[in-house]
Amino acid sequence: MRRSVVLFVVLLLAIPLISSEYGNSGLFHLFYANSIGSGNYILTLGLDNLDREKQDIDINDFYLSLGYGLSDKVEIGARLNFWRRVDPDNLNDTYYNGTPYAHSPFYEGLGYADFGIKFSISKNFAIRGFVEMPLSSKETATTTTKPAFGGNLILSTNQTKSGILTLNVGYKHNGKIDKTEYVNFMNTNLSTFVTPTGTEIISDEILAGAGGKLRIANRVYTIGELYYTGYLNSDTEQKNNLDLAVGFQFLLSEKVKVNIAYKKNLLFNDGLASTQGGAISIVYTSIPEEIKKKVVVKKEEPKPVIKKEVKKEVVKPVLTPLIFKDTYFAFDSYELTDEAKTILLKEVEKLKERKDVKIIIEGHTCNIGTNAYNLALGEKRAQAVKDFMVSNGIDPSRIDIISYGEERPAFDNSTEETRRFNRRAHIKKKNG
Amino acid sequence: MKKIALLIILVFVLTFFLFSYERNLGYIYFPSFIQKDTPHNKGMYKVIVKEEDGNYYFYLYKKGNFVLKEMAVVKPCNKPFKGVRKAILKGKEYFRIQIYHNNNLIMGYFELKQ
Repeated sequence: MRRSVVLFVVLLLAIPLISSEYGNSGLFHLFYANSIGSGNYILTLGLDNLDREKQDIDINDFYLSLGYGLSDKVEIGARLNFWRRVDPDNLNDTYYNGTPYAHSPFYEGLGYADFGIKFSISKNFAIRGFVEMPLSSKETATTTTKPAFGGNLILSTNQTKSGILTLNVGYKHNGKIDKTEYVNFMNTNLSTFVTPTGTEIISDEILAGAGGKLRIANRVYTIGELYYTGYLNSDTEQKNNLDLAVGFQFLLSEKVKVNIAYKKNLLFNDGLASTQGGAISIVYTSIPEEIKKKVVVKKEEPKPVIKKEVKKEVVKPVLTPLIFKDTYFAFDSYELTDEAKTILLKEVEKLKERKDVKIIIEGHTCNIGTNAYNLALGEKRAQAVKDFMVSNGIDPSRIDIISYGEERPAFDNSTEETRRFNRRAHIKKKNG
Repeated sequence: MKKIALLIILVFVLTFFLFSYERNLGYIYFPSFIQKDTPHNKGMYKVIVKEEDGNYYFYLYKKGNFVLKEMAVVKPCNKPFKGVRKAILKGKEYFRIQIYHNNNLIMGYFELKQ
């Protein structure tokens, strides 16, 4: 109950804030190295709210993304976004909405369509490539009008029920624009505009991200991400950008998840903006996530204990029964392993203490192979155990051997997890 | 440029430590078989071999869905071969899949339904 209340409060606090662009479709920052698997897909609908405090602009970024597993190694994805200004404040709309070269999301309308492909080299390492296509024309542009492309190297831990940690580094080449045209436009629309002095208007970027998720309850993960963007050849003073996103993922069902997050810009050194915001997204995946179902345990009433009177008998001294441990062999092998030798040395000590005891060593096999082959293999296993005991000082006349081959399995032979325990030598005390 | 080089080196070093063997054997036709008292129908199964905690396992999928995981039998072998060997063993008791990896035969045995 207390946990539910805490989660409800957290949810209330988080709603006006965030959600991290979180997912596994191969297009977000928190990429996973392992593929979602052939034929599986992840569909995400999300909203990011970015509040650029110093520029008095509040932006909503709606997006829809789809990731699809082409094979167990290859995953493709697409993402479409739409920008919407929610508080133009006292700024001149003509300036912001009319700028054809804006690289930042200060405008309304369709933004980009991203297309990505991810190759999972192993479940811990993947390479991803992407293309970012602007969807607007120069006249109504909300973005730069030239495509960008880039790639990432992704490294992540094995994905478990407890969570995942992931790192990625990448490079993005932004579409170049006509500098003269850009400067003319900006000078026309903004009297205070300072002509860039460098070679590039829109810089290429180095990308690096680190993040993960950790299960904190049956249906709740906490998620976090640090994302760095380094701007190369930037005309502005902007060189480094570091964003933090922290939040929660709620498993509404095995296939539906909701992410909420708070986002904060930690470092943005052009002195213009200090961004913070919130995001929320809903994810549908064809891969079910394990959720433990509550099991109702019926409390049994304690049964009345009936005390029986125990007759006291005179206990005769009895020799401790001899119990021998089985020794196990590798598949199709009668060689004693180091572990088997350690066990047998202890059995040898027992036999040295009880010189009256004679034993039979049974050789057993699993049921792979022919009966005749397994009978022979069982005999070799029993003989190997006898030879080891004799070499450690046991009189050979005290030991008989017998092979049962595959005929007396002690465990299920239909799976290797239990079948391997049938490859054994069993020691029994000989009667009489 | 130095930053990129350092990051790439870091990624490769970490990858080396985290890397575990995984091989997709593609789709393989299985006769009807039994595992842990559960019968499985004949048909095409996608098979992936994965190394976990020092053991090898065969993962079987059908139509994208996970079906079962079977522990592999590992036997030393010094005669490498490429590809996947499949066989039905004596008396039709087992269907066997064999691959070679790292001086070992990695073998999956699936008990046939009689």
